[in-house]
Amino acid sequence: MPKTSRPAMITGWGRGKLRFGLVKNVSTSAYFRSMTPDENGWPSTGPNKRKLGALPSETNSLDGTFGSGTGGMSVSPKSPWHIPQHRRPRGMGRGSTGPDKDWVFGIDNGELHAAFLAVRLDPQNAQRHAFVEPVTTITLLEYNNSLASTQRHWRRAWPQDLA
Amino acid sequence: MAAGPRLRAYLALERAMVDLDDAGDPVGDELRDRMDPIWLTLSQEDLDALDARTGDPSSFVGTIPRRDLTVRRQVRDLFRSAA
Repeated sequence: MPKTSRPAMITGWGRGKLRFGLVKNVSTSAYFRSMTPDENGWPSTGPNKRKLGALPSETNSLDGTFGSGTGGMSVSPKSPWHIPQHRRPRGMGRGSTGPDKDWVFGIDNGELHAAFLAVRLDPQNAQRHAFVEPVTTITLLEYNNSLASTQRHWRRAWPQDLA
Repeated sequence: MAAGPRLRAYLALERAMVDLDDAGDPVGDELRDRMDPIWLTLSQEDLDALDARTGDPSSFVGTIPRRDLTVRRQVRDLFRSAA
């Protein structure tokens, strides 16, 4: 995809293929996160909970590394409505009180695997929370680089009227 | 519905977060980050109540809709009149 092109607007996955339209019928392989878009409409990258990246506090390992089972960047499985109300952009409605500058982006499992990342559902809240973790143990810097490498694979799920 | 202590804490933080966001104060983001662990402990009933809010956030922030207790009252009155 050309560098300056806008990200595609998703609205769901069907049998492994992206479909475009309204946010509905999203399959179980999709993960969503509310993030601030950059000037080209891709999610901004960096160690911030409103960007594509992780904070040092998001691992439970003693040495500060990230790996399978350590925790990591949060995503919401299956539906944009599983994103916390305080992170969903206000314009989404249904009690959303998050920043109105942010957009909701979604990504498929396969695109994370290509960057050696895997999603682990939160055992405490499997329906509405999951972690994106590296498949091998790496440093925070390497982890954030890996997350940033997926930037062009995230597709806008909301707002829907900017395509 | 009666809000439990965690939902009350969430709603109080939400009101402060929105006030700070509206003022362009970056502390709003710090509060938002603190709200994540509380949100993860809310019950499905709590989340449904948060989702049931409509309109501009300024009209509902920090609150949840009151449940209509009319039916419950009518049933209670029926039991009382039957006793």
